Amino acid sequence: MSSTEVLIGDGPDTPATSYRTLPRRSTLMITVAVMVVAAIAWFFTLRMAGSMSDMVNGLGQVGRRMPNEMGIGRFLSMWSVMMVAMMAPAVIPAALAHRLVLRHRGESAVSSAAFVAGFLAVWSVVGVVYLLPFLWFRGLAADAADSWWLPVVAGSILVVAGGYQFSRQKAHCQGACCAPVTLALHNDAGTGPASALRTGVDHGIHCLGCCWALMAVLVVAS
Amino acid sequence: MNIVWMIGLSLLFLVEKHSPKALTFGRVLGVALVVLGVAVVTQPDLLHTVSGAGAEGPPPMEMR
Repeated sequence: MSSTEVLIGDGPDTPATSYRTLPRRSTLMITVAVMVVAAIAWFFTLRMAGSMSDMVNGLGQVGRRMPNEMGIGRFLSMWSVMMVAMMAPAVIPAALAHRLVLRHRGESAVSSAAFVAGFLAVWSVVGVVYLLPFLWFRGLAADAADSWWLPVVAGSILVVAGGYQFSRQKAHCQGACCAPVTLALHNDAGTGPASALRTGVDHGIHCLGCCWALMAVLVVAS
Repeated sequence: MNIVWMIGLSLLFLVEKHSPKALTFGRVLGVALVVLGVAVVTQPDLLHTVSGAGAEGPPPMEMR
């Protein structure tokens, strides 16, 4: 019998299984905790969006809005808050699966929090990559909006993002994300919060492989 | 920050991480993105509409 079967029986390892396998109280507590964190992040994201609504934030807004003078530090902190808002709900099945592994070992909830923190840290660090296009397009002159190449660059980003959905890498990462208990066991770095943090980072990297292309759409639209 | 796109993408991520048909769903999204990308290249005004900036032209200059 495999480790996965020990934890979830002989049923399929799917995101839905994660919600069914833990005791209801644990499932509820983790789900609510993550959703509260996401809700707080959405609150701040909406406030920031309101204060920047007349500025250029995406390729499609060049020439239609005022230049964005936001500093690098502010961009990265805004990105981190935005990623917590957008990605925290998506990590719930993985957090539940990871909790299942921890529970089997008798570990505390601190390790679960460390797992979620590690996952979200990956998406926060990715902000450095998205910073580069932001620094480029926010400085474009207004007449770039009427250039032939701006729609070509924007359209190419969308086509590449769409094409990636058919790649082997996407299929691999998607398959891993959709088998959360197997992934939690595969990425398991050992006992204690530090190891849980590392497991969360590994899981975040799988998630990145799955979702980076869709996130790239923000460069065009937002 | 375009809140509509952010909320939309968040919902897509949520579905991708929860659906048993996530790969198929992702491929449907892929087709939609490719179509949108080609449409943006062939109809450049669509880019401003997609980003929520409208096609009404640049913002007025401030008086100094």
